[in-house]
Amino acid sequence: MLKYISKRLLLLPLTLFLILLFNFIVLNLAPGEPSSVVQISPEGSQSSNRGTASSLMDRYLIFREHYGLTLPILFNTWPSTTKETILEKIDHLQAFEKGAATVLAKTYEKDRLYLFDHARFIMPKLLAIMENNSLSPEVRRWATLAFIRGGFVFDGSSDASNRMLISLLPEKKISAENLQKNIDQLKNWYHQVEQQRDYSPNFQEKVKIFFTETRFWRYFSRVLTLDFGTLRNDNTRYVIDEVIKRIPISLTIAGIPLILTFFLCQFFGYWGAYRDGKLDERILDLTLLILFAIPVFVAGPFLIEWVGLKFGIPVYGFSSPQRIYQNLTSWERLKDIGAHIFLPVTAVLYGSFAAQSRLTKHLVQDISHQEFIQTARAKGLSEWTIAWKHIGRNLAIVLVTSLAGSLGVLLGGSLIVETLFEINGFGRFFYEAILNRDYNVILFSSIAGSFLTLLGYLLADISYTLLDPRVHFT
Amino acid sequence: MIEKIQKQFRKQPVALLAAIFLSLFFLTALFAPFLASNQPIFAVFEGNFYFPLFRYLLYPGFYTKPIDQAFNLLILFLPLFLLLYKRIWLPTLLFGLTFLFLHFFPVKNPVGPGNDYQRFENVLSYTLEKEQQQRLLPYLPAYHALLQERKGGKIEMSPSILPTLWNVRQRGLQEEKERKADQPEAIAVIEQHQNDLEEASKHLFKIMPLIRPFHYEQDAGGDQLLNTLLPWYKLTRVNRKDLTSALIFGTRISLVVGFGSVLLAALIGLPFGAAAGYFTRWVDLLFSRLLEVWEGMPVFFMLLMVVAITESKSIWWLIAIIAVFGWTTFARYVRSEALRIRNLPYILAAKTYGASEGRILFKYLLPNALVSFFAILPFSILGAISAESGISFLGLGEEGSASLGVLMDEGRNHFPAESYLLWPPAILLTLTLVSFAILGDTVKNALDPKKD
Repeated sequence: MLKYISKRLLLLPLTLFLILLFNFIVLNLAPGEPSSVVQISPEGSQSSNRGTASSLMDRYLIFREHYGLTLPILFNTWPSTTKETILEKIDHLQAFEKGAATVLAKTYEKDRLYLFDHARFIMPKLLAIMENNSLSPEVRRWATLAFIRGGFVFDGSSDASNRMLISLLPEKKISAENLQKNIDQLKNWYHQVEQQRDYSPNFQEKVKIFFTETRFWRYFSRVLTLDFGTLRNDNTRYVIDEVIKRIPISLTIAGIPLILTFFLCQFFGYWGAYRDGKLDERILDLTLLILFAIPVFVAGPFLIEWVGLKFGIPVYGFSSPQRIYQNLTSWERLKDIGAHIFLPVTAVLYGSFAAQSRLTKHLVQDISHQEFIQTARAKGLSEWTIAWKHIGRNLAIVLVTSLAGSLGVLLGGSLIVETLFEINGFGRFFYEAILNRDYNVILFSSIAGSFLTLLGYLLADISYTLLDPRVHFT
Repeated sequence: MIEKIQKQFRKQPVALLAAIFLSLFFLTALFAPFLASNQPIFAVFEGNFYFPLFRYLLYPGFYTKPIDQAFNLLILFLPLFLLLYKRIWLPTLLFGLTFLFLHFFPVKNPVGPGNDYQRFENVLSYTLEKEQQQRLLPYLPAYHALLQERKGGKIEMSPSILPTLWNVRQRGLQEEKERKADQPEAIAVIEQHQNDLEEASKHLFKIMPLIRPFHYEQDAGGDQLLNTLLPWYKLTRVNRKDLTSALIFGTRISLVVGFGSVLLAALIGLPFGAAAGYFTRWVDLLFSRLLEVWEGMPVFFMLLMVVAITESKSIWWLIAIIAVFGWTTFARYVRSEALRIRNLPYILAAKTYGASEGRILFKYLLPNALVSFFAILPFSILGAISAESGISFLGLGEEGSASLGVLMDEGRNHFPAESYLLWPPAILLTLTLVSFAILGDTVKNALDPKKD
């Protein structure tokens, strides 16, 4: 059993990794970048920004560098960019700068980002273009710009060389001699740092770059240190704290129904199985089927309007407002929370209760047709003992598995319920993050949600092995 | 098989009700334009016969959504489908080709130069607006009282305070008259035109769609204040479109989502599951791990995330995503079925005579494993419809569509103070889902070999 559980535990990180990967790909497939250009720097996206110095160091580019957006998403093949591609891009750029109508501002912006993002990985090729006297000065100037951009290091460790690089930025109307002078200096600088900065990687280093110099790797290494970043509109609050603060609320909303379901479904399941075919069973069965089919976003408003408001049961929040809540005694607080979560819990509960009750009924029927039950009957055991000991134990095994596995579904249901009842839980937090496009929260929440779901499965397996002595996973 | 199903229906009379409801639901979806549209089915005007609804049926400027166009085409193809039901692929192929053809060579607007449709349409809308005004007149006193209470001050009680299309037209005319106050000829022309319309409308005979005389994408007048007085079938939505028409056309979306995403999910899930169950060993191992990872994701969270991030609120995208997250159920069922079947004598016999693996898998194994697929089909459709409505309910559905979830989302805005817009779609949706569940239960019992 230990072996099996440890296998499960080993699978857990793998699953989480794949989920992380999946989420990350989806997030990066989004139209526009995580923070779209217009929001960050209105001038950065416009063609008005044709100047050179600012186009190299504008706020948008710095922002991109800071968030690692200059890197490719999953795999980095940039060291293998061909010289022809680079020349083609530079051609577009200088044509646009000259005012050619064939190149659109959008293409210009795209190619500029392309070139500057790639610069760090194609330094030798850029240098070759710069040194090539047969090319036009404009082309060489753009290569120089990209080269300087590539040589720039943002971690604050190379201020001296950064300053040197900026001083060598070629002006827009730079003369050929001055450009040549700048290029010569840059070449000297390049040969000094070439070894130290691995500008011309060998095969092994290329493989390393292929996997590690990517957005995903950067994000993943941050995740490994449990650094999930801060909220989008408040960078003093950490995502991980905010989510963890809300998880107990959501677990209450989803967990209480889980426990209640476990007891209720056995009661109704036995009822259904023992009265099979009778009128009361058929009514019960139909009721359960109907309950199962009613979606939670219909039941929620129904409970609010026809139960909560009619009978004066609170319908908003997890507890009374803080100023009232603070003055209550512990017992009153408990009552307060109980009254507040009565309706939300009902809304999450009824669906899984109906499904599990029907399952229980079928299980009880299946088990009671097996031979060992008939043996027990033949032995003269009372029907109570059979139901409690012989059927009950076999039933519990399947039921616990099915219930623990439904934690994910319950969390999804509690998302809608929390939104409707305005409970400040994990699901609602996630929903609001989705509306605000708060990527850090979305990523962490889906990971946390997956983690809870998997935890449910793990608990299911453990209880399965504990409850059923026949099971030996090998 | 049919006998078994009949037996189940006899045992469970409610199932019959569910089946009737779902049949009505299907018929409503198919014949929606005949139930709610602002074009008459048949009209006689100035000695001419008109069939406007049929003229507009395939015109993409009138029914803008591909779903509606497809369903409308289906109405015309229905006889062919019924006649050739034994060779279903033939009408299906023809249908597909026609749909493509219509996509590239769309039907022209019936109102065009050189025909009398323009005049007919003018008279028709004049008549319809007048009729709406007449229908709403009984609510005038109550509406007047409410308006006075809400706005305060003294408001004169006249039919012109009703928020109807008729009054919009009258106000427009009034403004035009004021603008041209110095041109008596122009005013005379306007009045002459009105009198013409009034006169002509008396000679218009028309058979309107059965339930509502509004197109679901059309401005139908009305406002939230008037809504509080009206019975549910006369309500207008927040964007002043007719609610009942939207409900009628919303059935189409529910059906497309339900069947579309389940079909897609089955296309992914069935081959995977069958292959895993048949080949076992590493295929199965790999597959089971994949399933575990896939099912470890909190599905509803993922659905929301993908929809929100890709910012694509189209119904097709929703169908695709629901399928991508829903195929595992099918795969699991078919896998366990395949595990059982693979050792049955007929498969072993096929192996002995040298049938290829692919042939065994797709020709012998999969069709027999399909039984369990059909047993859970209604429940899967239920799940898909419910997921789509849930996402739409949270405000991430296709804007401007008549999906029941979108309608509920609109009703939620003023909830719980004014919930009259929430309940009609909510009840229709619930009835649909419950019917699917009851029918699904019946089918499952009928297919269950143990229940003989």
